[in-house]
Amino acid sequence: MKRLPIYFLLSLLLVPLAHSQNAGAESGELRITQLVEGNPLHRNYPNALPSLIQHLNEVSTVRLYPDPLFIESFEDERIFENPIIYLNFGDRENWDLPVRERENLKAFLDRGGFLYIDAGITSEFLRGNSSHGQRHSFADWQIHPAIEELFQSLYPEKRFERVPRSHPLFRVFYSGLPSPEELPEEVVDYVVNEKWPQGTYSYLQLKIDDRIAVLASPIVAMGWGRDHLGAWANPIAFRVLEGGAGLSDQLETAAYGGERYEATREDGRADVIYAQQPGRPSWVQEPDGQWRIFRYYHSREISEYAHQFYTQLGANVLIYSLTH
Amino acid sequence: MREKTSAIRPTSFDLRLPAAKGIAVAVLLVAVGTLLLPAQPSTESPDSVVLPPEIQALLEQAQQEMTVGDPYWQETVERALEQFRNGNTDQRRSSIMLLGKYPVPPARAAMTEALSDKDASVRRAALVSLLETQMPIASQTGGQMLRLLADPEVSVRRIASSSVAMIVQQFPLSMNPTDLQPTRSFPEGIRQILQNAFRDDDVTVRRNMVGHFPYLQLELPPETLVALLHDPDDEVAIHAVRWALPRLGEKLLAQESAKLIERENPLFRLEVAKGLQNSASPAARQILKKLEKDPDPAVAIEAMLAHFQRQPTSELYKDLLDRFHQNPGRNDASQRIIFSAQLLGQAGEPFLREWLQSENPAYRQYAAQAYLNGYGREADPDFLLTLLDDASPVIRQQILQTFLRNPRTLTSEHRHQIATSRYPDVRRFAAQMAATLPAKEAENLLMELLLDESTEVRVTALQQIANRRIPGWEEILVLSLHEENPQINNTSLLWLTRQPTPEIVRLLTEFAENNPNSSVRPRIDQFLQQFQNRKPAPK
Repeated sequence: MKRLPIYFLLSLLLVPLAHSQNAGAESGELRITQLVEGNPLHRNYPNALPSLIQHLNEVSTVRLYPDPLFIESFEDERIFENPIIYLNFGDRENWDLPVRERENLKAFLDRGGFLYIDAGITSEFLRGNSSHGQRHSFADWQIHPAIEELFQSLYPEKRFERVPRSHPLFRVFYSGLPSPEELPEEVVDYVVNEKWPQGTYSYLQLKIDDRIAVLASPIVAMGWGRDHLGAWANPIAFRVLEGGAGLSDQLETAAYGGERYEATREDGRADVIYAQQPGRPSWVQEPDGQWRIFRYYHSREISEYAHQFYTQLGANVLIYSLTH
Repeated sequence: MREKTSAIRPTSFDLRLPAAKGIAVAVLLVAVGTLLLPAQPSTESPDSVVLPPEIQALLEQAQQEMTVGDPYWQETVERALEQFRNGNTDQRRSSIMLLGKYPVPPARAAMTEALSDKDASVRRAALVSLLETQMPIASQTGGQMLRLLADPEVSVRRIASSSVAMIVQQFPLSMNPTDLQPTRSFPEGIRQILQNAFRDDDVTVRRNMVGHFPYLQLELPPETLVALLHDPDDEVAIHAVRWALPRLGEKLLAQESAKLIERENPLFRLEVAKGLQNSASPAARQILKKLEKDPDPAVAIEAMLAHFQRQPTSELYKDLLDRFHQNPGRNDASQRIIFSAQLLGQAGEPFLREWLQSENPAYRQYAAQAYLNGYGREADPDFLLTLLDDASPVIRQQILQTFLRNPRTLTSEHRHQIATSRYPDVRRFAAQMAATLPAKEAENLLMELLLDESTEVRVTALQQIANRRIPGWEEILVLSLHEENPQINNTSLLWLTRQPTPEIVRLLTEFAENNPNSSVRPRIDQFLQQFQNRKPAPK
């Protein structure tokens, strides 16, 4: 993992901030707006965004106000006070926005605002229960239909498109994966080569005026939160695809008692996923005909690695949005 | 690709397995299946694994019982079991991975058995598979999993210790009259393994154990507690402070606390301040007094809070607030600080009013809860009405519930303010409140709300108009049928047809004649038809 010199970032930072009235806080620090419908105390991953902000304040020269500014809908005029809105898809139930909200959201984006929809990519097999999309960060390249519908109504001529692995978003501050030397050997290959190649992930973007105005990802905030002692707030297990002696043959004929879904790969091909339990992939038939099994590894090294990587991703998203 | 078995068989697990019977057999099998397994990883050749005759008999009996109805998984699981019993290391590992997908007794018995396989990769695979199934772990299987905390392979110990809190849940809690807290009953060998794991050579294992300690309900010897407080790894030591300190005797507690607050990392001092919150010992109070002046705001706030909770005064609370507001951002003491204002009695009321103005909706919600609990009954309605402008619907609902409990505190002017709120949920409440008002006032209020822009408010107003039989209510409801709004139409028709009078029938007939293209016309026709076909009540 490499970091770019922060003075480079700061030189970029001056330009985009000029158009926003900043924001925030009386302290003059930039503030992130977080939309939570309903009770903000019941939001998903409550430690996540404050921890990410604290992390950026510690590792970079970016200065963000420590607390997000909570709003309950795009109707709140305060969305125009800050250039970045963070929204966990699971924190909003109703995506059929009233007219006023639509107008405000469009105005916010048209004026240069940036909206990050975490968990905006939620694979089909995770959509049955809203908590599944919060517990599984599953790389897929299809935007949630509710989001697609909303933005088609706002920008009929635009579509979400994938963010290529080569995009500077993935390298704007952190680059590459954290060192995998602490990871159990049975998961290293999959993580480095398949799960998060070159430290990238599945992102979808909606561009306005040739810039990323809306960004969506599978849930990433699960890896940001720290407790008051600085320890990661919630353990993360790795879902790893494994093969084994004779396993492909056994899986090909294995009975399943759950559901069968398809998930879209980056190249558009489909994985066929079999889930014995709802929202929990068991094994997969890959486009090349190979069968592999999903394994769920729980261990501290894995959890810490996932947190480090998701925090990297979150930091890159915020810094990219501040500087582009 | 061959067709999936389930493509030709029902796919619902529940439909295939009689649940109660399945669970009973599962528990029996898993329990017995682990009972006789060796304490340490087996050195027996995997090619010659033979189950004890008792277990084999039970397994066969259970399998026979569970094949009734031809379970969808039987063929797959039997094939994997065959490979587990007769395969080489890689094949045993693969079969255990597959069996992990089937939470059924034969598969779980094999996974339990594999926990003592001679090969570490098979033991690890079995542990991962058992942790994956998200089923209650039988205590015998749990015991076997806990034995892996002493496994020679560190990666196995790491996985076992990372899930230790979940595994121990199957061991019962008991409480002696002299104990302050319940302890968990473990077989003696397991208890020793758990205690030893806190002093494992591997720092990750120790971190896991320390992190899970509060869930284990396990006694640790004082020397282990002290060793953890002095652990070379800061994370282990810091996470041990809060629960280890109160478990030390008074003398040790004073000694160790004094050493800990000299550590460079402020988190030690923070945890000492939290660990000593409830301690009545003079030594603890002295340390807390010192920490009140700590340069780290979080440490000072915790120590001040402990002081305030012992001796609540307005001056101390002001100091606490000053310290708190100097350091915006994450502070896990915020909720406790807000609720602590109640300790001041009436003097706490202005402080909570101040919290109610906070820009942070979480703080406002805590404050509203504390304020209404402590002072809601006597609160000035004019002040509470200002809180109905809060952007948070949760706070608005809290206030409205207070009004609902004490409706007489509201004047007609107050009610008018509620009815003209900018928030539909508040205006809807105004409509609901009409149920308790004098007839004329209720009529005026409801007629005003009938013009509301929100459908929900208009629906509630219509319901109240019908419920209170406001003069001319039938005409009002029939008139509302002109609005092509399904919610409004449904509400009006429901009330009109509930206890139809000749007048209602006349109005509906007239409406149907004059509005042949109305979307509700077919339903009105149907109602009128049914009404006409009704037999007269016997005389």
